[in-house]
Amino acid sequence: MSQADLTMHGHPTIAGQPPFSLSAKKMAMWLFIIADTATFAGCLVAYGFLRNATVNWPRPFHSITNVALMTFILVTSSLTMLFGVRAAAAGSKSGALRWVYTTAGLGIVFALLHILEWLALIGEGMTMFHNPWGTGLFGASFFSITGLHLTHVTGGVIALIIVGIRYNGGRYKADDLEVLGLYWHFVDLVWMFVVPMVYLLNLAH
Amino acid sequence: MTTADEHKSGGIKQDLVVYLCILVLAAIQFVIAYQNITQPRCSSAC
Repeated sequence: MSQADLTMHGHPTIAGQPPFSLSAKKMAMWLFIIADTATFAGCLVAYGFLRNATVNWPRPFHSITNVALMTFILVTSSLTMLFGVRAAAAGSKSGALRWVYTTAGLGIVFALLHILEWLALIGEGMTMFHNPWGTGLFGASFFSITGLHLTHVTGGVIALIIVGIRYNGGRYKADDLEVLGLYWHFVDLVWMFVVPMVYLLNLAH
Repeated sequence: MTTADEHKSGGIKQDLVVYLCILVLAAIQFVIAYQNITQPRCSSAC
């Protein structure tokens, strides 16, 4: 193969592959993330309109400790996921597995804290369509948005465990961990929008 | 230290810097929210 075959318009390419190509798995994950971004954006924008249009919107949160801890755990889990992907790329299977399972563990802790918070709110009398503080729509929007996010975290934890097991068995490779890492970072990013809108703007004065 | 090790070390340092920046940004949000808890909005009577 001549040098001319490896260049196109002055840019190097690999014969037979288009420039800027992605693996099918990574492309599928990016398309899923784009679609999921639209889903969360739709929910959060609708929530914003609802909140601003409602006079007696509840402000039930008296403490930021729990949500701050949850945020710290989720952001840290993104870092451990990154370490796992880097370890896998460097060929360290044991290191990658250690970080991936650490990420899954942090995800489980996050989910448990989230469920405990839900139970506390339910214990105070909050349901999907009723609460003691104001409009009943708060429960529906709160449980919908945080529930959608919690579903993503739960799915991510299950995926981390399955991919970890299959990576350990040699069926999956470092690229698969990278693709799962994209999803996990996305879930983390979404939480950074959920926190100010759903929690911090609804702190009791 | 080899070039690969230097690259890896630099990558981890970058990751940690980004991680700390995200934590700081999140912390700023929480501090502002906490100020709203402890300092209720005042009217002219405050």
